[in-house]
Amino acid sequence: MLRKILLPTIFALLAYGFWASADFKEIAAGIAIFLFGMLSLEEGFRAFTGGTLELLLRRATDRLWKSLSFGIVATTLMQSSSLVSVITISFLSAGLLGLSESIGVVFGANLGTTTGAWLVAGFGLKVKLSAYAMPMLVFGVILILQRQKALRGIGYTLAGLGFLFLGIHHMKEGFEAFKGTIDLTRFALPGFFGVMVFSLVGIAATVIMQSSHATLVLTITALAAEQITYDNALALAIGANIGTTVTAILGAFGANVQGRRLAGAHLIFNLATGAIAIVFIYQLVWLVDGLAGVLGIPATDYALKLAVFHTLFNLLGIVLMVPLISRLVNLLCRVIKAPKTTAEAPAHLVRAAIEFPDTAVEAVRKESIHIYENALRIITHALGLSRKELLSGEDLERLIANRDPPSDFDVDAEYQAGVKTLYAAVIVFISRAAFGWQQAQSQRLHWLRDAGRDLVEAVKALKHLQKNLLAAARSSNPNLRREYQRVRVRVLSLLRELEQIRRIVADDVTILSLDALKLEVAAIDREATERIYRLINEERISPAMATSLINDYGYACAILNNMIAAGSSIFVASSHELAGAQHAIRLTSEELDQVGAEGDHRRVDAL
Amino acid sequence: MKTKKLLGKLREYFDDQSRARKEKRTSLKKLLKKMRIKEKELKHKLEHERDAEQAAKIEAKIALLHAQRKKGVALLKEDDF
Repeated sequence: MLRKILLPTIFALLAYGFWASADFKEIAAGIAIFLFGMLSLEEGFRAFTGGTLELLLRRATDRLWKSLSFGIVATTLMQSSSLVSVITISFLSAGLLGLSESIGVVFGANLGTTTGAWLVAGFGLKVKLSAYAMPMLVFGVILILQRQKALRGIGYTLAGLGFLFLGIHHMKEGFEAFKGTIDLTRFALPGFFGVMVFSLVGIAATVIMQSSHATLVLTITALAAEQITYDNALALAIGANIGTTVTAILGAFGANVQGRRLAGAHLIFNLATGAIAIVFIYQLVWLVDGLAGVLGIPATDYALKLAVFHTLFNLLGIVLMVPLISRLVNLLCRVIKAPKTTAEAPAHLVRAAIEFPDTAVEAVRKESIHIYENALRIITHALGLSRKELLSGEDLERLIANRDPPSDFDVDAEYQAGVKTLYAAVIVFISRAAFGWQQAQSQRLHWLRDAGRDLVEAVKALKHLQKNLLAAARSSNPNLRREYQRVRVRVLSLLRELEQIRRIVADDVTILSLDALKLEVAAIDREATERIYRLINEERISPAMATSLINDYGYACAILNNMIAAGSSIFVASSHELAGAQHAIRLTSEELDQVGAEGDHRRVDAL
Repeated sequence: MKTKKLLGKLREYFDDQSRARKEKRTSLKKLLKKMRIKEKELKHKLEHERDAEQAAKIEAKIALLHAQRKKGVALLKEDDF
């Protein structure tokens, strides 16, 4: 109900305001242009995601001081702490960034955003910004029309800056003209009550505009035009700082538990710094006056003094909160508990991960590993072993010698719950994410989708194999029983090797050794065929049994080949280019046959 | 000539496809270098291996790595990779 009437009410109020005062219209238009500039700037920086930004984020966040610096520098350059927060939440959700590092980035972003106040107060108010805005807009729009993504990105950034400058210019002009008609300082509230009220106004303005930067610019321009008092402007800045957490909280709705914890940290940090700033506001004002004297800022330049205040209380917050980060992490982990992950529900495909190409690829890769683990569990169990036994170093032949495959294990039900459902979720996620991306990420998503299909095929092949495995276990022919036991040992031993490779993928070359496993599968098939022919000739098994065995070895090899093929796409977490190179030099089945044949020749020659 | 070269480089940088291609080639070159080192290591290991079964396994690994490397070198020679 409230939502339904809110927008028309705002529209009506604005329309009345525009009709009543041309100056109000100019200020409101200034804010609108400014916000549009922020959106354009964000769009511009988004063009550079999918490579550079992610690489920087990964490299520049392994230490706390680095993640703090990254937050400061990135927000200073992009002039948007929201974009930095959204990227951080997305990376955290995909598991590419730890919670402590992410908290460091968000703390840094809080300090980085204060540079905006410096720019506006120190530069924007003293220079005719519209003179810079016009050429920026013209060049920006020309570049936006270009085909190349990088040029378009620069275009959006330039146009964004142009709109920001133009917006500030209009706000400034509006307040200057306003001065002649209405004196807003009549509404000034002195003392502590004023601090509280204007802090709330600052929070409300930031929540409505979704940008603390906009609130701050509005405050600075109003302050410069002497439309608000210095004390009230300080309170507005504090409010803006608290209000900005709303963006992060909204972003966290689509994130997983880690993303929500980060939003919690953001809220705690900004509330704590806000509370400190409110309680010690007079001491801070005294400190600002002292610092302004040292920095050579005139005592009457309240706009610059507001920038000093903004930086100072955020810096104070960082100094106080950074030593508490590990405790904060513990607290957040205790309060915001991770939901129990099940084999049936997707664990990594969260909405926040879809925001950026790299995070989307990583989320799909992790979910594919989830499917792989489920498939491995199903196969291992159907063949009569637990996952723990598979991973132990115990002799497989001895382990399954006196153990039949479980007859009550419903592969189909397990497949529906642990593989098919997750694969469907991956397909939906990819279909939502793939549009309009760079080739490298799209290609990796394509490989990961194929990996999912391989895993489905592996479990389907198991379904066919299981039927005869169970029948053979009850057979009176010892040769047939032994041969099916061999099938189980062969499959399990290769899966064990595959798991070992997964756990020790230490360098970029190890993953290529998966091709060696494919050779082993081919050897299993070859040896099995030769042995089966021998068994028929010696009349130890019937022709009907032989054909079943040949078919079932085919299913066993299909299980293995599909698991290996899936592994070659999902075990690698390296860069897209490297993954592409690894994919390109992987051998095809014909090439593998050739390598196998050459090996056989060498062995014959050696004899 | 210098300006022309500079402009060419600039155009190449802003052309997404050619930049991606260049990065892919660089990655492949780096990977091939690592593979060559690995192959040498395996050959060295083979010389000191006494167990025939283990030696055969290493030999198979070398053959595979060599075939993959050969494929990679051939890909690098292709213009459209």
